[in-house]
Amino acid sequence: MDRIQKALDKARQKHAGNDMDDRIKTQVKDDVQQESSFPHDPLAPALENIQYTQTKVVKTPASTLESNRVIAGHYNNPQSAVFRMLRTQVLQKMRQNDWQSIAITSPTAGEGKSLISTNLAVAVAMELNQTVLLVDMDLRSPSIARYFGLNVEVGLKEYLEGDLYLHHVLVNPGIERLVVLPGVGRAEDSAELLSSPKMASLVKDIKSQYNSRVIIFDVPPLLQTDDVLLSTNYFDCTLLVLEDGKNNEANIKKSLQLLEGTHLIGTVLNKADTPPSHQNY
Amino acid sequence: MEEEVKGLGDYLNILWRRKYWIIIPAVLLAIATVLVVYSLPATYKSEGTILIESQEIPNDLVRSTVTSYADQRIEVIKQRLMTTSRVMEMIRKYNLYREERQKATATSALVALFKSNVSVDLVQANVTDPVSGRAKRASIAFTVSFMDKSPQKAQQVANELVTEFLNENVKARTDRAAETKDFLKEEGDKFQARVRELEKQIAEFKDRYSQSLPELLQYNLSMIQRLTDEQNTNQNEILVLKDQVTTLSLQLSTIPSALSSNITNPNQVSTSQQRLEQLRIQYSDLLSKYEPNHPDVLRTKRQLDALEKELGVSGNSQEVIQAELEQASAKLSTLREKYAENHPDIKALNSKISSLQERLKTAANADKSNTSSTKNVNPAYVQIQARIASTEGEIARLKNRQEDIKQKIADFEKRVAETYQVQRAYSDLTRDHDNTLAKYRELRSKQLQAELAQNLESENKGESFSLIEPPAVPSKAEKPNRPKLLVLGVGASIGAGLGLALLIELLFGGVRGYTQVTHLVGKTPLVVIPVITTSRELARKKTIRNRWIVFAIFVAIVTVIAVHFYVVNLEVLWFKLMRKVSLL
Repeated sequence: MDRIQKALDKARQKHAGNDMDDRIKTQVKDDVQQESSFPHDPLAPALENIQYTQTKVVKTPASTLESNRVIAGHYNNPQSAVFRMLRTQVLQKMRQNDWQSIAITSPTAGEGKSLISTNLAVAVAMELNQTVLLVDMDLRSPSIARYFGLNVEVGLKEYLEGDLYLHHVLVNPGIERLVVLPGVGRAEDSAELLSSPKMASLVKDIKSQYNSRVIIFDVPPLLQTDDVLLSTNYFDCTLLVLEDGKNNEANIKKSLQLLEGTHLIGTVLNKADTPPSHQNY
Repeated sequence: MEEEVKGLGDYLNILWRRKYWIIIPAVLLAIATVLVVYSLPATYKSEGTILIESQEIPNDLVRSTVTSYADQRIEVIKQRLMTTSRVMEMIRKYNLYREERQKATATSALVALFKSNVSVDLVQANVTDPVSGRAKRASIAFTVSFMDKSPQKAQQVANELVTEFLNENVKARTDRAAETKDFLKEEGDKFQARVRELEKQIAEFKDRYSQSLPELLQYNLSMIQRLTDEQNTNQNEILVLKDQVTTLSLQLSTIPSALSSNITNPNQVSTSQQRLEQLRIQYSDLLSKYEPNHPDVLRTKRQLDALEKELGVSGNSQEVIQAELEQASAKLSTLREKYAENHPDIKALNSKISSLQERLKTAANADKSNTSSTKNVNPAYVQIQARIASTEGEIARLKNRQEDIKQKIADFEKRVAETYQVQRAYSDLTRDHDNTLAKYRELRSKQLQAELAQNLESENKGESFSLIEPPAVPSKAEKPNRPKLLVLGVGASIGAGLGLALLIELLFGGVRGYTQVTHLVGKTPLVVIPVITTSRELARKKTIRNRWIVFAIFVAIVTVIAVHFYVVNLEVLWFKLMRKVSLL
């Protein structure tokens, strides 16, 4: 538990003035109160100046994000437009159906789920009236932290296994209205962790606490683990990422079959050689 | 579900995506091809051209005995040259395939190798057939070539082969002509013998059936006719003569047989004697003129006989008396049955018989003393008696003649009957003979033609092969055609790369592209995200590309310099290029 202790110490230093020893819910409640004191209102300017009092804030330089291909926030990069298009479509659908959480998955690993999740989260966060929580639910190979260049020591796994408060693991990567629940290390028992009551209560908590937020779950690949199947209750809809040319027909069909119970917002064709002509602008 | 149709763009995409699957195998295979192509041993080919010259003398005048097509003959000669013994002889003579022989390769394998290096190709051209007037393909020349690793040996063997071809052709043609001639001569001789044999048979046959030959039929028939006529005439004559005898006998019975000697006319005698002489001369005269059976001769003979009888011999009188005597005694016996012994008729007959008996005795005496007694007989009696005798003689002669004629007629009839049978056999024989003779004549004329043809061949005036281009020592390798092989190999390498790429795509290619995903999922993808490149990556790509460009320029310069110094002078290449361009 050394590592966790260190993380806690670090957090304590950052949030000076907070009584870290007193691990009571009130603290969380404070945090929530503060968050919820800005009700979801597109016209409300309050969201513009969120001061994360209890969530760690780690400023990530723009160059790091760019070199990690997190470009959704870079207006001058022509490649960023596509993520804003995605954001608009996703948000439109979610608002229509009053959905709060979305899971991003793909049939197999390495198709770009995490990168798209990250970019989508950044893009959503850029909407002034929208806050985002990005949860790295890929316990076997978490990568969100890496994309933001965060050097975190505790993540979702530690939260589920240990006795941590949520604000100990949440991180703000310096982008306004975006909070990340990162993952660290590799959990072989990901299925058990995901199906644990603590996970269920966590999802319930974050859903209720972050009422005005969009929660993006970066989940493991569909066909290689049963994690997604175990966690379908946690999210309202799904987005399927398909790497161009990687999957054969059978894989895609199987994936669609597995996602039949959830609301599939749509698919994203990633790493395409040639984007369709209507997308060139 | 409708099938996706891939467009050209899709394929180009696949190629671009799998470029390494194409380039790497293609380059490796191309390098391998180059190595193989340049390590192949060179083979040289030497070739000679032989013209097939048609017959100099028109075919209508002298027809060659060799009528097969030139192609066929060339093939026959080739087969003859390609026998194991001759091939081995040539291999030994020119010391070919030394390595293979050292390895103790089987003879058949060596022969096969040699054969595979020999090629005989016909050069064909469109010609007008002089007979039908239609255009057709005909061989006008052929090439004989030989391939070997050594250009000199290739030339030597090709030369030998060409020579053999020429010799074999001449030999084959003259042999053929001589054989034809000999054959025809032999056949002609056979037929000659047969003709002779048949002629002999016909002669023998004619000899055996000489009288029944068909050509004698008319003669035989006319002979039968004539003989029948003669027979009839004779019959009539006999009847007439018999009447005469009866008449004369009646006359004689009225004339007393004996007369006083004074009545005898010595003058008459002398005239009779003279007449006899006259007749004899006349007879011999006629004999010298006519056949013995000539009517004139016969008549004279009859007169002569009668006169001789009249003058010289009255020998007949005795028999006449005898006959009278018998007649009388017969009459007497009949009368005795009717009448008594003293009947005057019987008496008269008795006296007559006794007188006749007496006369018979005197006649017998008179026969002994011929001359003396005649003088005492009645000349008229004697004359008539002689006439009777001569007439009877004539009858007897005619009867003999009649017998003779009968026999002759039978003989001729037999001949005529035989004729038809003979004719059949004879016509068989003559037909055989005619046929054989015709065949014999034909063979002889053909033999003459064949002799002419033989001369044609032996004097090389027939269709002949003439060497128009002797095999030369080749300066360039015939095989392998390195540039061609190289192009083929490189082409195949690229093809293999492409094939591999397509195979990979087919086996491992997944669902790709906006349309396919739409098709499969049922909804269009929300967005299509390209591979996101960072600015650092872009910069690195740029540097890498720049390095490649520099490297390529460097390689190009080095290649040009290498070509200039090691392969072909650039100036020469330039002029060659210009010539090619101007040719276009």
